Amino acid sequence: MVNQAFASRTFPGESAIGKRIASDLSSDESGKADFREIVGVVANVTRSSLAETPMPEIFLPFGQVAAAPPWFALRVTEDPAAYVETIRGVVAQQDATLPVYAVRTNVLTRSTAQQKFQTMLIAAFAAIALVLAAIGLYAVLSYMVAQRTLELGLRMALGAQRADVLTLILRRGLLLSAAGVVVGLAASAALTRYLATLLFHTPGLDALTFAATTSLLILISAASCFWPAWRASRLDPNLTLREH
Amino acid sequence: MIKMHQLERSYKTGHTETFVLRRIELKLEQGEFLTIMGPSGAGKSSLLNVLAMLDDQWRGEFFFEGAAVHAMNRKQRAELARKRIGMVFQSYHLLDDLTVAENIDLPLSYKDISRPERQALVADTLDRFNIVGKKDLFPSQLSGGQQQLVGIARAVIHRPSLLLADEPTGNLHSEQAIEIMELFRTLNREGTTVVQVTHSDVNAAYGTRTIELRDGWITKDTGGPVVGSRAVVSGGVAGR
Repeated sequence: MVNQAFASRTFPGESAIGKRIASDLSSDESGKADFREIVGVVANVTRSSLAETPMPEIFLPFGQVAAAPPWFALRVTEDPAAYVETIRGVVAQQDATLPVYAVRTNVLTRSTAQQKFQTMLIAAFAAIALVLAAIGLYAVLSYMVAQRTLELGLRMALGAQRADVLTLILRRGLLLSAAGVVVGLAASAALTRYLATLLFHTPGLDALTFAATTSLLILISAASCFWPAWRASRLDPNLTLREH
Repeated sequence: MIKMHQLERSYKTGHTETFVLRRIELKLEQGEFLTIMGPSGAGKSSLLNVLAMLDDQWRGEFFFEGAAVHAMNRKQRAELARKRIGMVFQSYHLLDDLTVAENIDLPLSYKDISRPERQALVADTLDRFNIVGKKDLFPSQLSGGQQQLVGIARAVIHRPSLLLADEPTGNLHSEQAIEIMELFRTLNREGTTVVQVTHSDVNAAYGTRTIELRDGWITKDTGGPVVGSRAVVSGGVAGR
């Protein structure tokens, strides 16, 4: 059997099944390479890290070619260390002479530790950026409301209802946010290839991720805009006009 | 058209209550041109703000075209004011980032009127006030008199029955002031009830009736006897 990486590299555009290949891992009695027929194609498997590029591989029956000591990978839901004795028992039941050695736990966790740390770091910075953006937007809108108090009071004196003022300020705030989101999306799209090493099974330009992030940003922007807009809608036009 | 009975307005500062309007008794008929005069702090602008329904912290009775304003909530008062009252300010209060046409359109934009109808009303008003050529200019490009003209156009575009003006010529030179006062007279003759606050006797002469306020009391009314004023009811002062 071969893996997909082998099949696609060696037999591009055609089926690998039925093809014959020779490997220096096995030979006949005269020492010549032993031709074998491909009977199946299996998925690629990464061994040391999820980030590694799958290499072309062939799989030979261990009973025929014991090229290297076999090793097994187990995915368990509980504490991996608790399974060690169980595994030794299972292997001993098959063949008591086989030693079980070099048992390692948390292989997957260790292999992704660096990426997870980097992702966590990026997420932390992103969260800080989001909070700063929300505070910035709140400050800008609060300032705008303070600057335009007379205008808002005047609009109310000329017939604007509280809902009109609320909508006016929210619209301006969300327009600012939308402009920021558009610029941010364009920058993100341009920079995703630099993030590609941190993504597993997720394309750089993932529509769902972009949609979810945009929705979150708009939601937080709306929340940041709401309080200044609410305060503006509570202005007393009489007091405002008198003060000006 | 307007009837006020025992209307009072005061501000609380700590434990002190300062009255700016005292026991106001006022009747105003449709088509009158009323001038409110008096020294600074007499309560002129406070009375105007009550009439404009911008202020709702007063006590007493206030009827507008038969409707009991004192029984209305804030929203109902705002709705009534939006439909029936126009307001002209001393400092014009035009929005700097809107053109003349857009400023005039502003009150209509808060009414349930279609855009074509609004455009037609704005065009009519621009024509009526002879400012068609200035419709695309911004307030900063106009003289003070022209800005006040736009302010008045904005105040009357929705055909209010009551037009209120707070020192409308206070920032204008005499020639521009005459123009503006002539305009008020024309509007009044066309049927709009006008109430102006002014310090100017010349401006007051354009009106049909003058009341004078002092310390929140009506002390003089050329339209009839002063009722409930400090001059007549001395108990009012003693009761303060």
